[in-house]
Amino acid sequence: MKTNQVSNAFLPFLAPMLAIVAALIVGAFLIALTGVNPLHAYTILFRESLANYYGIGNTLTKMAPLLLTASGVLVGLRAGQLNIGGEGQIHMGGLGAALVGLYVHGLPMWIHIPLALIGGFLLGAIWGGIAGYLKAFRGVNEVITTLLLNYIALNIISYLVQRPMIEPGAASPFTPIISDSAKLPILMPGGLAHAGIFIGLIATMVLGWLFRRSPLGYQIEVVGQNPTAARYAGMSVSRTIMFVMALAGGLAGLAGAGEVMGLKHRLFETISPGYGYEAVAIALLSRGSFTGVIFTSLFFGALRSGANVLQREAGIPFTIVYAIQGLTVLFIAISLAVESNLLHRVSLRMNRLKPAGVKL
Amino acid sequence: MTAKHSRRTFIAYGSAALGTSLLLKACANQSATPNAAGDSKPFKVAAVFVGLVTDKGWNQSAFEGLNAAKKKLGFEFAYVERTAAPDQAEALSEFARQGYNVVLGHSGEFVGPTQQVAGQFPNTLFLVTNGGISGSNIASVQTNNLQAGYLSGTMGALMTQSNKIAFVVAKQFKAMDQILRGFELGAKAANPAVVTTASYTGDWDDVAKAKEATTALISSGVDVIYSYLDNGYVGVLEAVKEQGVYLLGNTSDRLSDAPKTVLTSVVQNVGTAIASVVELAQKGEVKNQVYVVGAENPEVLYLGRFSEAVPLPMKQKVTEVEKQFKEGALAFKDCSVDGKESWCLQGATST
Amino acid sequence: MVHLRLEGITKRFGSFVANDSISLEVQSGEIHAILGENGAGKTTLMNVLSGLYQPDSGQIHLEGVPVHLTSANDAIQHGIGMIHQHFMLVPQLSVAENIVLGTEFGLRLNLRQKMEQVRSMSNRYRLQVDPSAIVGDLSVGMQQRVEILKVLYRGARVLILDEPTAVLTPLEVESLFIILRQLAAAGHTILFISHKLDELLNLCDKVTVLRQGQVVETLPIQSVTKEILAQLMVGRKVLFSLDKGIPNPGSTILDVQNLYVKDDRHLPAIEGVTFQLRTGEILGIAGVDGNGQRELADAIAGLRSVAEGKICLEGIDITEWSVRQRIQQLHIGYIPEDRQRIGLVMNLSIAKNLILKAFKQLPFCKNWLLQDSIIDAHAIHAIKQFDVRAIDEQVSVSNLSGGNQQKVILARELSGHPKLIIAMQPCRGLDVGATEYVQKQLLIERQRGAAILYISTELEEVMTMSDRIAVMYRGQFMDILDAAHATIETVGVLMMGEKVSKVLDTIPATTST
Repeated sequence: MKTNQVSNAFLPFLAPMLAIVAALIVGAFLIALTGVNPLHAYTILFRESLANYYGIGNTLTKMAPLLLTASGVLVGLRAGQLNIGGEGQIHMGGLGAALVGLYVHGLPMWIHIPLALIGGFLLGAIWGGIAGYLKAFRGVNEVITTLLLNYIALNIISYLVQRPMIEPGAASPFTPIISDSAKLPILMPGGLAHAGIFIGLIATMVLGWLFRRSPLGYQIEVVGQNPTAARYAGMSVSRTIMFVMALAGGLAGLAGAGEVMGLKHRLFETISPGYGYEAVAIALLSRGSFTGVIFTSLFFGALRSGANVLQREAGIPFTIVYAIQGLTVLFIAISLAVESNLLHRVSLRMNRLKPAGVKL
Repeated sequence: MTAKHSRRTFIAYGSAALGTSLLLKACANQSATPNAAGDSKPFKVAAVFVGLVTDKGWNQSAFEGLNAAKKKLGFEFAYVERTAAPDQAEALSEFARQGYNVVLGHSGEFVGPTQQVAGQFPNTLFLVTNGGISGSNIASVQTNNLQAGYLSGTMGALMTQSNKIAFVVAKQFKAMDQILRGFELGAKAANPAVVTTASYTGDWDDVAKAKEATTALISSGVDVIYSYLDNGYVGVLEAVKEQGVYLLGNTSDRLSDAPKTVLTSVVQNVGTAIASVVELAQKGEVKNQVYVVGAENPEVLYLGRFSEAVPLPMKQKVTEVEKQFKEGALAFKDCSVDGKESWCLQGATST
Repeated sequence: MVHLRLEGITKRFGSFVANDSISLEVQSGEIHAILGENGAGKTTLMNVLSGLYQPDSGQIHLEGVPVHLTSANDAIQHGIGMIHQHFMLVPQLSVAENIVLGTEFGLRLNLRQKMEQVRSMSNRYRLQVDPSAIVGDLSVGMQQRVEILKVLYRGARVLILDEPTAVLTPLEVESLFIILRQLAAAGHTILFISHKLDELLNLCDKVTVLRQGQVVETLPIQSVTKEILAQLMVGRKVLFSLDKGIPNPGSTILDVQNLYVKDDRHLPAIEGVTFQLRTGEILGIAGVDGNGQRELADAIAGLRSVAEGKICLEGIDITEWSVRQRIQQLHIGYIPEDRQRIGLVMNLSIAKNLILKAFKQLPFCKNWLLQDSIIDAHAIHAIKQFDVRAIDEQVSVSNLSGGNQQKVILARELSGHPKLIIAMQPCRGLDVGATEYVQKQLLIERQRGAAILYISTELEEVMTMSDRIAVMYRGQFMDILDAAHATIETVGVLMMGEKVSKVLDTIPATTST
């Protein structure tokens, strides 16, 4: 029984791990094609992204927005909503933080930073909330609305940074630098990693706790798993969905705020190079677990920063590194499909005998 | 340190990697970091690109320019491509940390990241293309956009029948404002009746958007188009060919794309411009300033081949303007137009 | 001639023996019932027969020849066809297309010729199915005939039907039986799985009773009664006539006045229903499915808004109250008709399902936090009290049998001594033992003084449980009868929407099913 429990706890992570290994093996062939020794490349990849002062910083820098956005996607998934609007929500969040950081002056840091974060959260939440409203009260599929809202957000930002918000004489469309009092502190001297990662970790842990212990988390869970039962139990399904989408948007908004306040210190057109979409993959691969999101984000962050190192140090073309990332997602997806098939068969057998199925 | 480390891993994985050990050695050598002191150290140049170096445009031009300079001047050259906004500061600082003497950010986007990290690496020169910034170890380089715009405007104004010519570009920011301003000034100088307009497609590479914008311009009576896009250029070319109007080429000589449609091209070889600054840096002559390279360097900015459609007198007029730029007879200065910062011809009061 | 013979079929899942050395013989042209409670091993046995599972030991013989079935396809090659409870049809396609689906691998499909084949086949077995009809447009009964045609088309000689009547109306059940008898007469062998005893007695030639994976007995149908079968199946004596105790109705608690409710498509579903319900009383509501019972229960529970009329509970007008208000401020227990779709969150644990309606209230939630230890203790207590068969309170309800799932719902809905209980089809899909348990619990509540609205489409169930019986037809109450004087015939006629006075003298015997 005891060993069974151990293996049950380990089981959910087995498939993703095997998938990562498989992706690295196939990736090794691709790397070899470019004339580089794969072992050498992987040594660089992991040493530079996880075992090197600046590398860790770079990894954390990339992990922060991934973690926040993926947590948002996961919250949505818990309520049965697939939010693929992270990209737009990140940008709106960046806008919110930039507005507070640029146009509010004379505040001490301990007020200005939280205010700018709230600004980011709010605009992200509005962006997610629009999709939530349309789903909950108008029945419009959230996958479509969140996707389309991405384009609207990107175009709004594009307009703002080219016209009204552009820094006079800017060499490229971007805003002026935000006030020093709104900049997130740098974690490691000389590096780029900023306090955004703490915001991400705290938010994720609060969410995990929320879903484990609070009535709100319970309600979201019920709405996600069986809206009919939720209605029957007197819960407002529409309001829950709208709340969840706004929360998801807000979390992605925080990610955008972190990019503006911690990394770039100004608003750009492309503050997110697809973090919003990567977050969907991370959330799906994390198997509904907030702890899982932390580790998956770390892995994806490491892969991203490692990708840059591979280019710089081993001369491996960018496309190969992207192919490895893609392979990882593909293999994990395959392994999940295979595993759920296996689990289904196992549970068919175990049901009558030992109804201790795998918990979500 | 890197070399030592690689050798250790080499031993560790030696048995498994026997067949490819030669490759590994090559890699280890390649990434060997020289010691910071001594004159005998190789000069090292790194470049960070936003897009791919095979884009047949902006990035490729710089990449080829640097490779040519590498052959000529014999420096070490490394680069990363497709570097998105959040990775730019990291890419710059990692190169600097590895002891590169010059680190180029090849886009105005790098202004922010450069200002962010340059302070930490006083021994590295940070060069920003189209940056317009300078500092204790920061310099910028750009081709002379005003000249390019002026030459195009002159050519367009000479050839238009409808007195309407247009500039098609993706986004609005300083460099593009300069081109547009030069375009206007050149056109007005050649023919005061000509009206210039600008159209912003929002995307450098979107062919459909570019074609749509161009078609809209043509239907409003425009008959010469100056396109300033990357891949979107293909859409402009299609529209212009279909509607039978003229096109002014940008960046490289575009005549062979459509010999009857492309009147001429104002070639702006940004790669050569960068290379010229890198050469100064290698000689130790670089100043921390904004290098604007124009027609005075005929390898950087010049008129391309002319279409047969351009009559000789007009050809001569444009070539004359080019010569004036080359000799410095014609130049620009900062000025204020309607309360906004802008640029005017030296000697002129205002337009 | 023995068509199908099973010899010592054993199927284990881990250390659990689902089928324990099952042997049985079925003659050609016989309709053979497999009877057993949920979890007795019926489904496993059928999956072995249809090739989905391979037995760990034992042998299947078809017409004396030992066969080894490796897949569902293999089984159909050997002439064994399974008709599932949930149909495997493509609703957008025509009947003929559905039937030939998966059998043709050629490049050309002569649909007209296939259609003729299907038509002649349908006529031969008197199934009266139009091969060109679109399956999605057909009634459930007709779709089932398409399923039967499908396996016949594939050459099945042995037909296995898994609880085929669960989805059918009484009339459709009758015609299904006629079809099955014809098929048997034509030499087909039929295995009929059910736990509806009346149906078995009516249809089958022989019955094999399973209990805990073993064959209890195989008997010719003439030699058994309902009581004997139930006893064999459950392993103890089952009371079919419940001892209801003396009704002791008190004051009126629920007062429904001239109620009008619309259904999901905004069409009138309830049109002017008026009734009162007293404490300690069970009002049964009989009627064919879809005559407004669902809307009535939902309206009282607050899940559906009222178009016109009034609902009063203990003198308070609650017509406009929200579901949450009713749950928090009133004591209403509502056993929904579909426990898996409405009543439970299948992936959550028993403990979490038990607090579905009370998760925001003390003692489960204190200081904005869910009190896990209290929730678990509550669940452990409920599991004991309601005899839920589960390893512990953390088991997700999807792992429970239907009966145990219903017990979880009972434990939740009956907790806190509700004054009004709405029980919608509380015994649907349950086996005899579980049914008995649910009914007994409800009778205990009635004894305690709860008012119970007992809604069921099973006429006999309503007759057994109720003190008074309302018959619903097209959104109206045809009549409210005193259960002591009501007969199946009277109620049956009312269910058809005919006034009793008009037809009493012309009741044909066939109206009872």
